[in-house]
Amino acid sequence: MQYSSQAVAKPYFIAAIGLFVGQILFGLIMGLQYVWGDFLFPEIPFNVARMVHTNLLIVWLLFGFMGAAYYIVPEETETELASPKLALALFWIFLVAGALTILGYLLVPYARLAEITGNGLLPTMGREFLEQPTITKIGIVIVALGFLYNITMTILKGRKTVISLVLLLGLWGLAVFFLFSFYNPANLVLDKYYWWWVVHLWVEGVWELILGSILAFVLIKVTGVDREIIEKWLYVIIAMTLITGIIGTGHHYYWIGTPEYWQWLGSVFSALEPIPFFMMVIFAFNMVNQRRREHPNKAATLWALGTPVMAFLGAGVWGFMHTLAPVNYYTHGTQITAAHGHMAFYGAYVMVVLAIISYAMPILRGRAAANSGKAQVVEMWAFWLMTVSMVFITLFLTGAGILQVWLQRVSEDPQPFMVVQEKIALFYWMREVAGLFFLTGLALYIISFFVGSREEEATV
Amino acid sequence: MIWIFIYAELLVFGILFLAYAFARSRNVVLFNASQLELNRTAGAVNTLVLITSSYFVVRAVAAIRADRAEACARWLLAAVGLGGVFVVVKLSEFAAKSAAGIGLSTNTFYMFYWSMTFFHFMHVLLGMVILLAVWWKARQGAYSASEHTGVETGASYWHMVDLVWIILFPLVYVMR
Amino acid sequence: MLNLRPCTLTWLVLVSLTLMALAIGQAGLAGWGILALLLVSTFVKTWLVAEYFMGLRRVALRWRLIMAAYLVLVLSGIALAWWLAARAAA
Repeated sequence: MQYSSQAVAKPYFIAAIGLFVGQILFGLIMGLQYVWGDFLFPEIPFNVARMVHTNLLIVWLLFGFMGAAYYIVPEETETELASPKLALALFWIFLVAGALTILGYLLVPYARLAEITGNGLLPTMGREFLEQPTITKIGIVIVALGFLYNITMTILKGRKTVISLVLLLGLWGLAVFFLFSFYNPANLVLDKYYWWWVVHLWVEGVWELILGSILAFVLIKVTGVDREIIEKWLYVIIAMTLITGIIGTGHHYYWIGTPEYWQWLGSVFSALEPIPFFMMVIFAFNMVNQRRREHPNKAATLWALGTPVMAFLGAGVWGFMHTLAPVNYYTHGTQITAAHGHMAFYGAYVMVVLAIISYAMPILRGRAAANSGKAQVVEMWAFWLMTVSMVFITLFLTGAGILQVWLQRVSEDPQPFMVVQEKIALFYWMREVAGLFFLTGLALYIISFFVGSREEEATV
Repeated sequence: MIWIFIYAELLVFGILFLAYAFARSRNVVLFNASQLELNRTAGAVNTLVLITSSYFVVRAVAAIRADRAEACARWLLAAVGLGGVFVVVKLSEFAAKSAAGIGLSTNTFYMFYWSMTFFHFMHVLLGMVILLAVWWKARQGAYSASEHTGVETGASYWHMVDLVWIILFPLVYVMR
Repeated sequence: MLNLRPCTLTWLVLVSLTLMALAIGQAGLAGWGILALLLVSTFVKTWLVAEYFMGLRRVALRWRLIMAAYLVLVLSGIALAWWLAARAAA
């Protein structure tokens, strides 16, 4: 570790992995509820499990991004963090607030939670992914402001690199667009319109900047390729992301009461959103092929190569499948969306956070560069188990989705939702099994932190 | 590297052009009628302005290749000036259209007209910013006959903006 | 005799072709011959810009091929759409 303040990244990474486990457990619970409707009812109804599953995902990714920023920025700016104490304090605030919110979801009926937390004063609750009580949202803003202050001051006083500036832009964008979660107009069309400014402009906009910069950082470290080359790639990828992603928001505006032109703009621009992901694939593989050194942390390289591939497949290909307005007319809100969401989140954001953890954790734990060979072998097993399971989850959900679209919407004799759900139950069972394999992979991943810790570091 | 970016941009415009053409094929009468309402002269003037501006940029590159940094900066400034003319003409066209109450939702033709010309307009603005940055560095003496990648990169981008308009003008303003 | 730079000559051609397009537009001409004329002149203009302004002449063949393919694809796509429109009307 070059700078002692980088150490604050460690608790963030540990919390991220802990919440990741929680997310997967709730995913398995609701996966089972698809086929066994009253499983755990009334303790954990489906809607609560879903809320916990998606909210935990977002929160642990945020922990991962913050940890990544605290690790990357001192090294890029060649200076200590402006305030490691603030970073640590915010960690505990965020963790406690997050835990209280999840407990609130689980222990109190949602309407009651809204009442207790004073949602009536500034109603922001009750919308998908933004279910957090208003006070939690305010807490998130405070944590984000403190975090941004810390990172921005560090970058201002140190060396300014393209990677740290892109990361900073992404993080600022993340905070700014979150503010739209406080805007909750009574008009349902307007509500959805601005809701996407948080949801879409996060995952198909500013988060991609964060993804690009973390990936570029890890690639510089593990390949030793010249910074200049990597920065040029980063520029092009970022530019394409913004060109396609911003107007691409239109692909959420089909037939929801917004003007018709969104069908054209949304289709054209979002159809091009796979391009930056494709560039990322070429970029990562090119850099690894041109590597100037052999880095002993093979596992980190594997994650860094896996990220763009899975992101391209999940976000790019699976997104393209249903992004054109005439196709989306039939597929809107079916299991196709679920398939795309699973692989895109895993490929783009889960994997990039695991890549930076894989690179940084050995160093944070006192190694020179990498874990022992034994630990890396276990971690790579975890990589393949989780990745292959996710491919199968996606394929099964896609199968379910195609069948659902066909039986419920396209066929001459359309059948009701619940009747169709019965018919695609087999896919849900297979998805649940794949989910168990994913959990096994995650368990192996955690085990990899504890095996071979007394053994010698791996060498090239 | 800039080529990858330029081709990616051209791809975006190419898809917009084709979308326009195929949307027109399903609504020829509307497209032909709406097209008549456009200000063709303004469109043609802007084509000439961009072509000439591009030409100035070519001269700027030639100047720096001959190690004449000052001449290079002058050509660049002239090119940016013409970019400014394009912006003024385009804005007056936009103003006239919106004063007539014509917007994105007026009809499919105008949806394309606004999105394509506005998207291109944003590229003109970006191109001007890039050229200004190159001009600034050229004046500082940052480029020479042996090292002028920055000039060439900025020039290529500006020509791309020109090239797109060269297709856009006949397609949207003239062909029927 | 006039001794023009290639880029100046290119510029003159571009200006003339643009004026021609404007004249066609003002006269409101249409039809297959006019369409072909406009598409070919657009191809010539864009190709000149790419070759002589962007300097594609001097870079690897691969990039020139991509540009040529792009222009042919877009312009022939437009022609195809016009043909479809005419067929639908007939």
